[in-house]
Amino acid sequence: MIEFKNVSKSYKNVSIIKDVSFKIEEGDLVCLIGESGCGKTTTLKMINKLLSPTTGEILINKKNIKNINDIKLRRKMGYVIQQTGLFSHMTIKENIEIIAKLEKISEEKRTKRVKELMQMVGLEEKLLERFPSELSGGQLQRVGIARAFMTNPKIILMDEPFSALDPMSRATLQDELLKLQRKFHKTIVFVTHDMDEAIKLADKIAIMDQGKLIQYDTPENILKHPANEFVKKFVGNKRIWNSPEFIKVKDIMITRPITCKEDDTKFYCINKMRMTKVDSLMVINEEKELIGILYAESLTLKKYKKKTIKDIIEKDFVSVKENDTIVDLTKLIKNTRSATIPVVDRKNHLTGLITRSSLITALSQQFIEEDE
Amino acid sequence: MEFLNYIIENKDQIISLCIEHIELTALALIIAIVIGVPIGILISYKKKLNKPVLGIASITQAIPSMALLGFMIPFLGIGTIPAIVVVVLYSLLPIIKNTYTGIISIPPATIEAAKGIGLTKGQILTKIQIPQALPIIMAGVRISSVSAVGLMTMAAFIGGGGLGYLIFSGIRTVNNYQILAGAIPACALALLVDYFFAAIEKLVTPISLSLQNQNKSQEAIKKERHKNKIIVVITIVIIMILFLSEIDFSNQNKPTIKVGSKDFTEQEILCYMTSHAIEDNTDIEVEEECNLGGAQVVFSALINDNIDLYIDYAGTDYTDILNHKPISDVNQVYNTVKNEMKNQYNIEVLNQMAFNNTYALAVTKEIADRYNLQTITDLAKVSKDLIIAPTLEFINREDGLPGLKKEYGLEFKDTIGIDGSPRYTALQNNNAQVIDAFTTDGLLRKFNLVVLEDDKNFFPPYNAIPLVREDTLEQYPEIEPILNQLGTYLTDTVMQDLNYQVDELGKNPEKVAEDFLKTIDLSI
Repeated sequence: MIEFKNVSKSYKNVSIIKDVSFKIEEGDLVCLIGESGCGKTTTLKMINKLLSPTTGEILINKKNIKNINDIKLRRKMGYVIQQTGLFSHMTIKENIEIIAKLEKISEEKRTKRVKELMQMVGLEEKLLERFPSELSGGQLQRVGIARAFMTNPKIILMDEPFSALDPMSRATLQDELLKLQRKFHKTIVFVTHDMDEAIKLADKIAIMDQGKLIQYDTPENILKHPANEFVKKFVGNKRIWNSPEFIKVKDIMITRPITCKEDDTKFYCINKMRMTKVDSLMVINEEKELIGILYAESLTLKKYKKKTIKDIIEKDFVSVKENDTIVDLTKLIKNTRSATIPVVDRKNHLTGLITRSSLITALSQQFIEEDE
Repeated sequence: MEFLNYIIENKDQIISLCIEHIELTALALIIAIVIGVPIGILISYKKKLNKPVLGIASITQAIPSMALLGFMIPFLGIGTIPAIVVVVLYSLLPIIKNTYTGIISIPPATIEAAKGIGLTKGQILTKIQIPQALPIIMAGVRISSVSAVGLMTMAAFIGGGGLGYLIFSGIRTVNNYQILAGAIPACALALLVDYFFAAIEKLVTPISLSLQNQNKSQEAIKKERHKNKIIVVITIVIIMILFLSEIDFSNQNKPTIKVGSKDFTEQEILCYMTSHAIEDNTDIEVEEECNLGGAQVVFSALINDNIDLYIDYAGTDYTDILNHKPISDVNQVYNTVKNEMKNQYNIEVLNQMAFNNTYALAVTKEIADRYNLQTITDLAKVSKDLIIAPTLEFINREDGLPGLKKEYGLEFKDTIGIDGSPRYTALQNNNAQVIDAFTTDGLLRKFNLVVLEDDKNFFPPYNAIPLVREDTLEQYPEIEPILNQLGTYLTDTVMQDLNYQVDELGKNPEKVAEDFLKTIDLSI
C-alpha cells in the first residue's frame, strides 16, 4: 500500500532522514516510534506531502506520490493530530465536514455521515453545535478521528494523536481505535513516542533513530529480538513484562526435560531423579509421546511398593502448548496447583517442561536485570 | 442658550456637513481596508516585506497631517480626493499591522492541520486565517475609524468639506458656537463609529473565543450577537442610503462651473456672491468650493482645473505668483497681472473690483492711545517694546513683514506667527500688541482696532480681481459682464460692512451674500 524506497531528506545539508525503506501493507496499523527528533514525524509528513523527500521515492499503490496532486492526495487520507488540529472558530460539525463540504457533498449526506461518525467515535450528537473549546481533550480527539473518517479514506495518518491526553482517556481511546481498526481495516500510520502505545496498537513497529530506520517488525519480534543495543535500550529490558502476552511458554520452558519409559525399573528411575535433582520424570513412549508423569513421592509410597512404574504413573495431568502465553500458564498453575507442567505439541510429543522453579526464574529475570 | 439657537438656525448646514463627513470617512475607511488588509496578508506570507512595509506605514503616520495635506496639493489638487487620500494613508498602519498580527498569531499547527487535511492555500486563507484573525483585524479597523473621523476634519483645510468646515470657519471668525457645532458632532460621530465597530468586532469574534473570555452561556452570546447584527445592518443601510442619495444628486447634466475662494471671511462672502450672481443671472450651475486654503492653494486649484474661477487680489498675484517686486502703482500692477496671467497660465483677469483690500497694521485702541500711534512711522519708534502676531503668509511675503521692516525700520520684541482670527484674540489678551490686518476686515470693527496709516505707501494695491480660466470664459462668456458689474458695487465700505456682518454679527456668509445681491441690480 505505502512504500518508502531509499527515502532521504535533508534541510540545508543537515540530514534528517537517511535512506529509509519500508513497506506498509494494506490494513496494517504501523507505528513510527523513536525519540524526539528521530525523524518519525518527518517520515509521516512525507506521506501526505507536507514535506517532500530530497531523494528516493514514496509509492502509494505503486504510484509515486510525486505525481499525485497535493490536494487530491491529502483529501484521500485522514489526518489526525493533537487538539490544535481542530479549528477553534468552527463548530464540531463544521470541523468534521469541512473537506466533504469543499468537495461539494450535499448537506443532507454530510449531516447523515457526521451523525454516523459521532456514534462511531462514541460522542453525543448534541455536541455537534458546540465549539472545540467547550469539549474535553478526549472528546476533541474523538472528533479528530471522526474528521479523519469523514470521507472514508483508505489511509489515515495520525501524528501523536493521544499524547496530550491523561492516561485514562488515552487508554480508552487506544481501545476504541483498535475496535475501529478491527472493523474497518484502514491502513494507519501512527506516530508515537510511547512504546506501550505502539505495542498495544501496532501490527508493525518502525523504530527510528537519528533519521534511520533501525528495526521494522512486529511488536513481539521487537520485544524479543531487538535489532541492536539502541532498540534494546529504547524498548527497555523490562518492557516485555508490560505485555506478558508476548512471553510464550517456549520462551521459558526447560527444553530437555528428564524422561523415562514405562518399562524402566523403579531403581533406575529413583537413581535418575537423584542424579538430575528433579522430583518428577516425564514418561514417554518410543514415539516420544507423553504418557504420564512419574512423581518421586509415588515411588516411595508404601502402597505402591509392589507396583511397577507403569502402574504408578500419574496419567491425569495438565499440559500446555509451546505458544501458550505466560498469562495462560500462570492461570493454569493457579487453578490446578500443579508444580510440573509438561509442554507438548499438537501430536502430544513432549517438547519441554515448565516447573515452578523455571517460572520463578523467568519471572524474577525482570528484577535481576534491573540490579545489573 | 445662544448656542442652541445657533444650532437650530444652522441645523441644515450642520446635518449636511455631518452627512458629508460620514461619507468621506466611510469612503476613506473602505479604501483603507481594501488596501490595508491585503497588504497585511501579503506581509504575513512574505516575511521579508514586513519590516519595510510596516516601516513605511509608521513613517507615513508620523508625518504631520497638515504637511501631508499640503504635500498632496500639487499632485492631487484640492477638495475631497486629497483629503481622502491622506485619511487613507493614516488609517493604513493599524489595519496592516493588525491584519499581519492576527494572521501570524494563528498557531502554525492549525495551519499545518488545515494543509494536511487537504485545504488549498486559498481555502486556508479564507476558511481559517481570515476568520480567525478577523477580531484582531476589526480591532485595527476600529482604531483607524475613530482616528479617521477626527482626521477628516482636516479635509476642510483644503476644501474637502465635512464637519471640519465649521471648525475652521469658526476659528477664523472667532465664533465659538460654530467651532462647537463642528466639534461636538465630530466627537459624537467618533464615539458612534467606535460603538459601531465594537459591535462588528464582537460579531466576528468566533463564539468559541467569546465563551472563553466572557463566561457567558452560548445563548446569551447569541442573543447579544443578534443585537449587534441589527446595529451593524442598520448602520450599513444608513451609510448606503447616504451614498446612493449622493449619486442621485450628481446625476444632472447642467453646465457647471466651480467657484473657489481662500479661507477667510471676505473670500467666503465673495465666493457665495459670485456663485449666486452667476446662478441667478444665467443657466449655469455653480458649485462652491469656498474656503480652500491660502493663496497658493487656491491658485494651484485654478491652474489644475479643480475650480474655474475665484476672486484674487492684484497685489498678491503680482508679487506672489508672478514674482515681481512690490510696487504701489495700481494700473501698472493690474496691467502686468492681466497680461502675464494670460500668457503664462491661460487665465483671464476681469475688471478690477472697486475695493482695495490691502495689508495694514492694526493695534488696539489702548495701545494706540498709550503710545500715541497713528502711522506706521509712529509705530517704528516704539516697536522694540511690542510683540507682533502676523499671519504666516505675512511673515514670508516680500511685500509683507520683511519689506515693511526695512521700509520703516521696525524692530519688534518678538514675532509670533498665528494664522487667522486667533490673532485678534491674542491682541485682546495682550499676548501681542500689533497684528497685520486687511483693510476691509470686519474684525477690525468688531474688536475696535486702530488701523495705522501706511504713510510711506509701502503696501502694494490689493484690488480684487476675478481670475477665470480661459477655457471657462470661452465656454461661458456671459459671466464676464456679471462679474464686472458686481465689482462696481463692492467698495471698501461695502466690503467692510459685509465682513462685519459675518464676523461681528455672526451671520452666515452665504446669507449675507444673498441679501446683498437682492439690493443691487446685475441685469445688463
